[in-house]
Amino acid sequence: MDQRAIELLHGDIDQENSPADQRELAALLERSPEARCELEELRRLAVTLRAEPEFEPPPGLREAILGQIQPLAPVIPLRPRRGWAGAALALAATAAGVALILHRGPEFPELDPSTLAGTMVPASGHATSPSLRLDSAPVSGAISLHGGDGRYAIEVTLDASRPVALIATSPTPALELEGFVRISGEPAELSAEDGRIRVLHTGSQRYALVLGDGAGAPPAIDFSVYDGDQLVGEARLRWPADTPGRGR
Amino acid sequence: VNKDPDAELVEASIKGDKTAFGTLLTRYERPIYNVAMRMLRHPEDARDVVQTAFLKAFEKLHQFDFDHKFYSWICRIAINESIDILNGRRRLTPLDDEPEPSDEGDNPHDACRTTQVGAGVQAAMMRLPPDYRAVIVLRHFVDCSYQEMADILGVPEKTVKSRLFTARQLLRDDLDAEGLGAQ
Repeated sequence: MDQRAIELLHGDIDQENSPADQRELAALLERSPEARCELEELRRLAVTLRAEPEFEPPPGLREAILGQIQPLAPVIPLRPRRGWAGAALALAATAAGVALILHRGPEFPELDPSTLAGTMVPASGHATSPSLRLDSAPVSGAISLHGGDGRYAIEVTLDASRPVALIATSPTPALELEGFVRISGEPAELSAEDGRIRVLHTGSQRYALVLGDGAGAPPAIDFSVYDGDQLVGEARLRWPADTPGRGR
Repeated sequence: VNKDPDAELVEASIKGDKTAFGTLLTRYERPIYNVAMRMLRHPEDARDVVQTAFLKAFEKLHQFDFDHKFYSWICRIAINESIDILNGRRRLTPLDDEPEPSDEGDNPHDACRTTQVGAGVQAAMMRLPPDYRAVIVLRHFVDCSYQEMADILGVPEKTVKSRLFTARQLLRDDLDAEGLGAQ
């Protein structure tokens, strides 16, 4: 039986066939005794599986889980200062600022990645690495933190073979998103809400997120990279790099 | 537009509302336990999977992507936890020595083991490779569409179909060989 016939038969069992598929299937069944027999067997299998009774969760499981849940830490106040629309209008103005942050001298020293706490590693590996590079299909690239004088720039260079989402959160209070600057590549799609910045990547992109720290507290920023809803990498960057690495 | 009926509960949970998370737990404890049982056929391990899945979900709620459904997300965690356990078993036990289900005294509803066909189906399920078992579980016991399965498993829909069709064939062949072909 050819692949199309197999797809139609299983599609019928799974109720995934379109009306056109169903008409095609009807014609197939009309002319093929083998297809009729196959469909009948698939239906029997489905009935057999459906007859399996459900399992009952053990008593007390729900309570045991709830008992282990600790209240979440306060929502991370990494928030857009002007709201997203305002931030969009501010892009041009912020570009000059970011250029300064990225290229100025001692006031904004560039971090040596080897001194940073945390690493970017494939989530499944749970290994640490001395660099902040991410190399886990479908995405590769690097994230670095520049900063000084209460302002920081997260520089992101990522190459994604299909869309991935980079999510930045921070336990540091009073961090504010001041701007977003595209350095090269396609425009990134960015959204920011209290405690979370999300950037959707496609292709090769390099950009900077500019953060201001009203409270003067050194930031720690957690990054997670998702392919669909699958976590493919995560890391924490800390400024200054005063504590041992805590890459996940 | 977010159509996930659980989105509001997730948002409330992120803000620290334990009752909201309790509602999610009540809603999905049973289906997730069933997913784990179909995958593992071991009540203690299934219980651990449910516990780990919900605790992990709670810990990572602030990373939840509201473009996806909470149920798909928790299901995915449970499937992956189950596969991790199966891979651990494989390292520790010969392939043809799958653990038998324990006589779980506190699970009196597992009456399915009492029938020959029921036991045969479960045994045949356990002989499927985990990736194939996962698609059978999601399709036949959780009623997922191809798209939902692709979402949960993180693979293209085409791969889901290919695995599902092969899994059914393997299951039928196995049941036939055991003299338990679908009646």
